[in-house]
Amino acid sequence: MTISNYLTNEHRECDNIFAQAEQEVANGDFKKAEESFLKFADETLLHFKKEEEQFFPMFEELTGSSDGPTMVMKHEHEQVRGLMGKMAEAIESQNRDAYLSLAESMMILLQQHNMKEEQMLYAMADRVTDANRANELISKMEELTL
Amino acid sequence: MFQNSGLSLNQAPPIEVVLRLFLIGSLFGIALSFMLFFWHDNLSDISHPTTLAIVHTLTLGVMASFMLGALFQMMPVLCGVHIKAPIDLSVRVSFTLMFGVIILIFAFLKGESSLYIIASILIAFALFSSTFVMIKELLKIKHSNSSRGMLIALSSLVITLILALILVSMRVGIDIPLNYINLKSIHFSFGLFGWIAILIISVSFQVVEMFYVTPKYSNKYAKFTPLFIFGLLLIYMALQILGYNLAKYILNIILILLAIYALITVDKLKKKKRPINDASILFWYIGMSSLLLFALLGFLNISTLVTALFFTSFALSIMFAMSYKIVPFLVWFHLNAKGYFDAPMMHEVISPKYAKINFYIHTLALITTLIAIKFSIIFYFGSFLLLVSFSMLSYAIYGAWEKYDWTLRNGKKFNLNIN
Repeated sequence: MTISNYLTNEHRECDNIFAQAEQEVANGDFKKAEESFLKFADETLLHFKKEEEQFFPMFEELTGSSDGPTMVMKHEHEQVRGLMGKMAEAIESQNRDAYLSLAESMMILLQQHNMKEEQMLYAMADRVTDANRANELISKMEELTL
Repeated sequence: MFQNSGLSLNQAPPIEVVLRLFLIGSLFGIALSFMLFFWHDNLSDISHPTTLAIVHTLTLGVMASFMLGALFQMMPVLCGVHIKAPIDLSVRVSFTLMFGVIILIFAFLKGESSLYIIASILIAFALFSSTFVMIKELLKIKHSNSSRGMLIALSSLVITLILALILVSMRVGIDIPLNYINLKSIHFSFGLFGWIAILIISVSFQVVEMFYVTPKYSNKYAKFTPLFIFGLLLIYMALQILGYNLAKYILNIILILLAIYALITVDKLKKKKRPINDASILFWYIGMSSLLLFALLGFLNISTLVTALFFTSFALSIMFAMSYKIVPFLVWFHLNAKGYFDAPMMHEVISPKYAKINFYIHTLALITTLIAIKFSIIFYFGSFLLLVSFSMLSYAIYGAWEKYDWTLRNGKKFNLNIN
């Protein structure tokens, strides 16, 4: 499996859980929505951790740049974390409109972020790593927990 | 390394760059409604001065403003392209284009050569200066399917403009040994299919998936469709200039490609993972249905006016769809990025109910205008609805800009410079 496949699959998985939570909030089923949202938050935060602790350092080492694209990506991770907190509050207070409005921002922010990672960072990482290095990185990422 | 390979990850351009052009475009929409109200009688005569004024208000005033605004926003974000001094460039482009279109309208009405010349200089300056910068930057990057499509669309705009300048020269009496009617057909075709359709198609390859979480367009399809349409347009141009009758068959192939695109996009939207059915997605459905009907009626060679209306409906609906998604997101995004923790949420910037009302009025305006082609008295009602629709959009954009400025002045901000 390539680095690109591994991390892109995680993006898609998070999208699916996010859509499920959004559907449940839209239906007014806040109990299920809370479970799905927590799952989405856990999966997303773990994905960020994998990138920040394993993928970005490797990328910076390979490209010789630590203040360029990875810094922008980390900044966007912070924006997502902030928005996640607000979404958690909306779900806790069962505020449907606030959740759906925040979900709209979250979705565009995340998709825009994912697109940059997939088209630029992951694609470049695939080009400059051999299969052994890629497998080693994926194994290290697999070991991480929240 | 990242600059050289075009992988600049710069953030979005300042919000005013986009909002100014969107607002100018929607104000031209209001002007267009008034023009339709008073001048609808001659619409079936494409060479009539009032029809030419209406067509260019629509294509240059409304559509070009929106599309340039969208390009200023999307090129850095989706293509990693860095546009230098975007505020200066967008101010120059916005105002020269705006005054150029206004003067062009008077040039059509008065038929005075001096007005044609001034309008041409202003419009050419606005569009060439922006397309030059954009094309130059796009040529430096490694392409995605969207960025390649944007480059093709901008190249088509350049061809459309050059043809327009030749047409204006012939109109003011300069003797150029080319067939005016044929050149006009090529000008239309590159403008409608090469610039407007290819740009919308290329941008949709990324934004449909991004906004609604749909399955991806196939890579080969997304890569070759814009190239194929552009190639066909070049063949069409050559055949028209050489005077071959085959030219109309080339246009029919383009229509088939557009119909296929509309069907594929509707299929993607139907398979979206998100449960939303907001105004923007409804605008996309109307836009794609209109494109499908345009292609079908064009292929069957049915009434030019009806087919033109469906193409207009396609382009305008997608512009409304994008505006109602992009404008509130940008207000929230820029304020949030500046550290304002009371930045209004997207639904507070433009309420979903407001956008949906605009959608219904927009749809009703299109249906009414369609009926008015048969019963012209209804044009008064159709243009009134169009006026309401564009006024709502203008107010939404202006209101969003106001909320942004208000928060900048009064909002509570994180101190981002903590030592």
